[in-house]
Amino acid sequence: MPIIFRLDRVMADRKMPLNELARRIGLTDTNLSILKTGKARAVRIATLDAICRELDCQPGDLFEHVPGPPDTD
Amino acid sequence: MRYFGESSLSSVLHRLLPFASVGVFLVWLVFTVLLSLALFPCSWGDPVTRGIAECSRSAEALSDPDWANLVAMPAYVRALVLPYFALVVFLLLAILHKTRKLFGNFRENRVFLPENSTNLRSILFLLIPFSVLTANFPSLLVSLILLLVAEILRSGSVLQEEHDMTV
Repeated sequence: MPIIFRLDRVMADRKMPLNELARRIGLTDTNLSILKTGKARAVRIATLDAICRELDCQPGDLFEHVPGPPDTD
Repeated sequence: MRYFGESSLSSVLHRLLPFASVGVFLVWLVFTVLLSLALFPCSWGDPVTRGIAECSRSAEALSDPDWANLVAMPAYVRALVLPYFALVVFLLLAILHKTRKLFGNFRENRVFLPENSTNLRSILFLLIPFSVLTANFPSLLVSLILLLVAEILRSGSVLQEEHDMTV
């Protein structure tokens, strides 16, 4: 997928473990792991809002666009 | 009435279908033995075999024109009756098996799965020859409805996957 979710990098910068972030934003560890590993198909605005609030970042800090062929899914 | 999950219609059917399969198999087994003895009477001399053979040749049995015609046919034609019933029963057992798998997923609240759509399609492709062999044409119409339901399940499984992968 040409969109890469940089949650792992932002979490490492903030020294925030996955289970702690999951607890704070009200997601399960599994769902946050899906997001972190880039397997998610879509992200809810509410989830993005919660992540940005807890990690004190902008949505743009979380995503990176890598040019490549479009996703056919 | 609940249709999906524990203590639901699906759960009850999932538990009952194995008994139905065993029942169908046993009925077929007994029927095949009796039919073989009636169609191919041989002089083994034991009272049971002799009784069945005599019964099949009795005036009452021969008064049924279908049975009389069948008994009068050559042995190789009569021999086709047994594989015919075996095929019908095989199709029925396969339909019951696939239906049980379907209800097993429904019992676990897993409704919109690609596997369910595939199972339903398999049931459809088993039901078509079953309907033709048993000359049960209304079930051909049921097959068409199953095809639509399978398509709905397939589309539903795509939506379900989207929903599950949305965080």
